[in-house]
Amino acid sequence: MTALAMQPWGNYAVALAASVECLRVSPWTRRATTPETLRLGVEASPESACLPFKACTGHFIKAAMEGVEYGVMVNSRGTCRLRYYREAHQKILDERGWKLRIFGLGYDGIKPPLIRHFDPDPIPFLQCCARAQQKTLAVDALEREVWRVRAIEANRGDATRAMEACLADLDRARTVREIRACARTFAPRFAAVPTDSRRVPLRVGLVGEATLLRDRFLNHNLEEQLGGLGVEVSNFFLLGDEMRNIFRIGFFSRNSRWTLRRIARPYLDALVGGHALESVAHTLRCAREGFDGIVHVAPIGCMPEVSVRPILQRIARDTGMPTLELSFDEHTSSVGLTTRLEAFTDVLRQRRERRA
Amino acid sequence: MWNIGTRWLRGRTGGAAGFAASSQEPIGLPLALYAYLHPGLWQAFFEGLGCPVVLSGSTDAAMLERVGLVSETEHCLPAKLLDAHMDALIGRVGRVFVPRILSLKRGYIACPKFGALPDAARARFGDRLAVLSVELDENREPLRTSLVRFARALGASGPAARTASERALAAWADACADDEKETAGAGRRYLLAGHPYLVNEPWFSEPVVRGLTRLGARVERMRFDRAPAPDGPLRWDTSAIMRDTLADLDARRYAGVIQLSSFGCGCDSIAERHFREAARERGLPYMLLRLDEHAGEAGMRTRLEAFVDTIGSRLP
Amino acid sequence: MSERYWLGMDMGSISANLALIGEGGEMRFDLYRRVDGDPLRAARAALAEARTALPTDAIVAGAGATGSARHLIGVAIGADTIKNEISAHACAAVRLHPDVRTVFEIGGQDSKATMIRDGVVVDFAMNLVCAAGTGSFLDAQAKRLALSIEDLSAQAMRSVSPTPIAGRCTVFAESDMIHKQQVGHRQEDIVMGLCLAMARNFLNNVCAGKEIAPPILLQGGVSANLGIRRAFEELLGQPVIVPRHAMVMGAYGAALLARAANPAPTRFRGFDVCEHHLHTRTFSCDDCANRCEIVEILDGDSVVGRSGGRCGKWEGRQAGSER
Repeated sequence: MTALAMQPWGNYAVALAASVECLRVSPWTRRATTPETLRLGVEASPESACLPFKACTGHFIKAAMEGVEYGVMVNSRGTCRLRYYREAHQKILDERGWKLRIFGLGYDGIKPPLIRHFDPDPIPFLQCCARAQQKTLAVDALEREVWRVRAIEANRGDATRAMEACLADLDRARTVREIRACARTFAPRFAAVPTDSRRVPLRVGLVGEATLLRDRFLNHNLEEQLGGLGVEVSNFFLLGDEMRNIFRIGFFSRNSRWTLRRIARPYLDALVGGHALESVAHTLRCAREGFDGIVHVAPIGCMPEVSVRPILQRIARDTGMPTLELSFDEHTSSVGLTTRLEAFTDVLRQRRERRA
Repeated sequence: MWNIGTRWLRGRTGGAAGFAASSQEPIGLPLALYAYLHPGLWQAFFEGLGCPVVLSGSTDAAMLERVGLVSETEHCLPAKLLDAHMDALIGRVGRVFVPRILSLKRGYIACPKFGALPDAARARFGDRLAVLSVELDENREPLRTSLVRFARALGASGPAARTASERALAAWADACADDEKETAGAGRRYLLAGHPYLVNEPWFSEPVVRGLTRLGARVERMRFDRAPAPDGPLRWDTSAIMRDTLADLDARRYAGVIQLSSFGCGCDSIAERHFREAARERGLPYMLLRLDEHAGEAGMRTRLEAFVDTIGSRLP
Repeated sequence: MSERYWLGMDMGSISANLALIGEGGEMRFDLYRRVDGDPLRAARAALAEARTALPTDAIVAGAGATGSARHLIGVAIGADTIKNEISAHACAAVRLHPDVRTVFEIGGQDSKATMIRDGVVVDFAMNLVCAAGTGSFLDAQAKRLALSIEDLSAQAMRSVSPTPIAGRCTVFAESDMIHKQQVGHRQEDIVMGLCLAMARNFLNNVCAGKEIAPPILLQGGVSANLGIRRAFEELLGQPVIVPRHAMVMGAYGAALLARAANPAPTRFRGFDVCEHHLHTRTFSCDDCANRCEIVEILDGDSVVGRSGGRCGKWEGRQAGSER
């Protein structure tokens, strides 16, 4: 069977795998970049490219090594470098003699080229889309549970283990009905995780560039590290919300681009590109909702995210909510990152004690 | 909690609305980044409206020293320089002008850093400087219309707004025409390519020009008064113009191309490949010089010399 | 009654520091040693030295570890608190100078700026990937000039007109320095130029956009070099204080933190640990594609703790928790 490689999108890999069944191809994906794929990517990519680019290059090279013929990736029409990435990845693969064709998933006429190529029957295609959508929403819900429980779990790693079990079940669910039934089991399963009720978690929002927010390898397990320090994180990249924005559903919903733009307007009155607007808007909203702090993650040299950093600093100054800026590339050391995160949570905890 | 936002909002609209009453209050123009996209235009525009203009002065070593202290570390150097120039205006003026540039050419988009420029300036300097801004988007309306609209918003009457805009556009055209694009001499001609805020910023380009002149070469700075081809591979305006310029070069007229790029430039990291290919197709030697705030002139001179020497030995 | 002491150890990439404080938080014994790479051996040597300095009936009521190898050392000696060096340095700085508002801590591979208001850390910054604003920058150049840190310090103070040295990175700085030597600049001016380049790099790379308010404390291994202090004072136009115990502030802070935690009883395994055969072994965990390297810390044949791994499942047996 033909195989189709997809970018590593964290736990959403389960949902993405479901979405391509109707194309009569088998999905090839990973939950996160691996050391091997990153090494391959760094070797093949230009030195000045950003970390997500290198990781993605390596991912597709690895797929090609394993005999995958097709690949698909998000291909924006925005202002940032991402719009050239599909073409650039393709060129690198071609130059190295790998036969892997990458499709862009972006606005390109009515039918994306991927659909045009495989031309699935409409009814199964729509059914499949519905399943993928349900799985995406289920993963969104699962993520929220993990963030909450990880900060107060009694034994380190319990929440992550519960999440793995839920994901395995979700991967097996075939129909919309099964997926919904599976999603309903999440809450009781997490309720069963032993917790330490004396612990009062800090609330920290994670904003920034989407690949780094999602890829546990590239962000050095940021969510787990913060969870282990007693922080309840809110990662503001949720694929369910993102899909609604892409398909322009839910104009007035909480995380629609329209709503976020309205929130960000006092500080930023342009879309900028990437998820820069979202970073600003979520930071402002977190300040309003009494979060303890914000962690802003971006690849080093990310054009949109870097250009809003002065704005984030200003918000931190105006609202008094501390902001930690983290930049990543392939040389980022885990030790330095851990030191920063620990010091940051110390700052947040002291701040909270002083205000109490 | 939310009054933070409204205070901010009042602060920013106040800048434009209160203009008519205080149109004599001088406005500061930082001479960096966006200033090189429309040389001469903004000064003529504000003076046409009867508003005295204070320029930040040229880039020098002291200005670069300032860069490190005021600016975000991951930006490209020209963007950091803009912050330093604004910082230099603090105390000399009460307000500065920073446009939001979304597109310079129809069908193309500007580098994303220009989209957040006024917001970032307000975030950094809002306490000490009021920031006036206008949105320039050729995909929505031509520059002329934007200028008139801006002048009207600043309180100018219709005819005054039109006169000021026309004068500004004329000054821009003059500045482009007057510009000493080529150095004198009889040697072989080299094209100095790169974003306008590198090629036309004396601090970056003068050492290169000096170095080449000393080697007996002639240097021509790249021009930006052309429209990019409609279906090029690049969608950023200045990058597309750069690529098209290289693709149309006459190999008999030029001995080689020297490309200036700043350390950390996101556009160039993608576009460099296209520049290189375009130059190769025209059969022109191409060299990229990457600039940062600490680059020593000695290293650059060595590279220029080697580049000119290899070309000299290759061609009789 | 025998006296109670608290122990702090700061195990960094370049130095191993140890501090023993008394009941009132006052420094009783301190030690600064360069390490050659093996933190466990350095820790044992430091403990052995501290043991001889203490009265025989002294009781260690608590121990704290900090520095980049804090987890390893913390497990090995049985620390009650394992804290990052930013918090440890800030804690010590506030103890000695309660009105401090900025701490520059320049270590071997990391350098940090910490902003403190009313005795509480409100913000901090740390060098990114580059080593240009850290101690290793000076080390490399001092080696090139064949000077000890003391000579470097003395020469820098003699300089009248420092030579400007372009130094975004260590490599460029070196080539520029050689160039300046060849042109014929005086060595003391070059040395002071290096100090200025380092201080400038620190201000540009680490402190950009942060508010540097006086009083400013300079601590960490580099503070022994008076040229650096002079460079900061010249660049900032403000006095910079090098506090007492500046070299061992991290260890001092770790000891203060252990005292504040007031563990009962302490997990500290005693000074005799220095005679134990402490060693590590690594294996790679094959449970997922990450293939993390897991480090096991052994005392003789028994495992005292493990660290490493992205998922956290190997850290179950680690002594001393952060929470």
